[in-house]
Amino acid sequence: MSKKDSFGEIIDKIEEMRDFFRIGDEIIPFLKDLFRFVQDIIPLLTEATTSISDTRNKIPDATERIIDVNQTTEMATQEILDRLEKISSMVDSLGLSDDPDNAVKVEKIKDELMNITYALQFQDITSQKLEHAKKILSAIHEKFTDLFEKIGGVKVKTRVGRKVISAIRQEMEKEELQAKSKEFREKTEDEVRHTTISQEDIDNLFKSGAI
Amino acid sequence: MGAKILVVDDSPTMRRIIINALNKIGYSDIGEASNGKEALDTLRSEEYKLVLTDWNMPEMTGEQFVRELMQDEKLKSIPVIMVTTRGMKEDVITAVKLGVRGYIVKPFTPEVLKEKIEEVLGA
Repeated sequence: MSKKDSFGEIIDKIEEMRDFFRIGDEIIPFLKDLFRFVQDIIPLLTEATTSISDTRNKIPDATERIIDVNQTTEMATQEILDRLEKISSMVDSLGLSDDPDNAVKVEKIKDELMNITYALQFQDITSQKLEHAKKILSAIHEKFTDLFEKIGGVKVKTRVGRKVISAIRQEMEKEELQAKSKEFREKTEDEVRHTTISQEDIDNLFKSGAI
Repeated sequence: MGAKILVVDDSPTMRRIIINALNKIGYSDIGEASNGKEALDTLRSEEYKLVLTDWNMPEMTGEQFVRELMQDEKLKSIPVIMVTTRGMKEDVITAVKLGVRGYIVKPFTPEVLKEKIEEVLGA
């Protein structure tokens, strides 16, 4: 190889390196920008994760409430049916229908009692709708649980990925987020269940016009 | 009217309401079951002229119950009326395909119940 050729080769290499650094000059600001974006988005993602987690934990409780509502309305409806049947037999035992003038009135009363009985079908209808809502809630809970298991099982293979996950964990531990989580729990806490209130207190509340 | 009727519904309230309505329109020989499985057992041990069944039930739904009933040579001739909250066109089509003879959407009135029973029993 002549001196002229090897000189040309060196010049080519220098040009190649210059091109490489030119690309680097363009890529580095982009990577910096991307990193800043990731840094900004981490707290937001962390907050979303915490909120979803809190919501997920409330679902089984909501499902239990639906079951309670169904059982309570079922019992109440049975009680109403018992009383309606008693009233109906009392009307019969009065012997009022023996008098032709009263017979029509007695029949009307009994018809009205039957109409109340049929109106109680609402219990079964609403109970089935609540049952449906319960199924939806259970399904959402399952999806959330599945999602969290998947997130927990993410294997970070890259150095940057490890840093991102580590940053997410740090954010999770931040006091502010813990405070927000506590606030959510307090806001969704059931006052009725944890505070015993007598009928008298309820009556007084009504009288005071506060509710 | 002496036709013996089986009322199949998981809700005790609903069974009571249907039985009340049946009494009012003149039927007093009535049996009860709280799901499809129980209904099949009852039908295999006692003779019934008509079945009124709900759709949404635990253990065995009304749909599964009718399907099994129609596969049973001894029971398939018993007419079935669905009494359900499911009022979608697709549901009615499914029921008809299964072999259901009548379909009543809750809430019903005794008049509707009487009309459907008479239609099915040909009274």
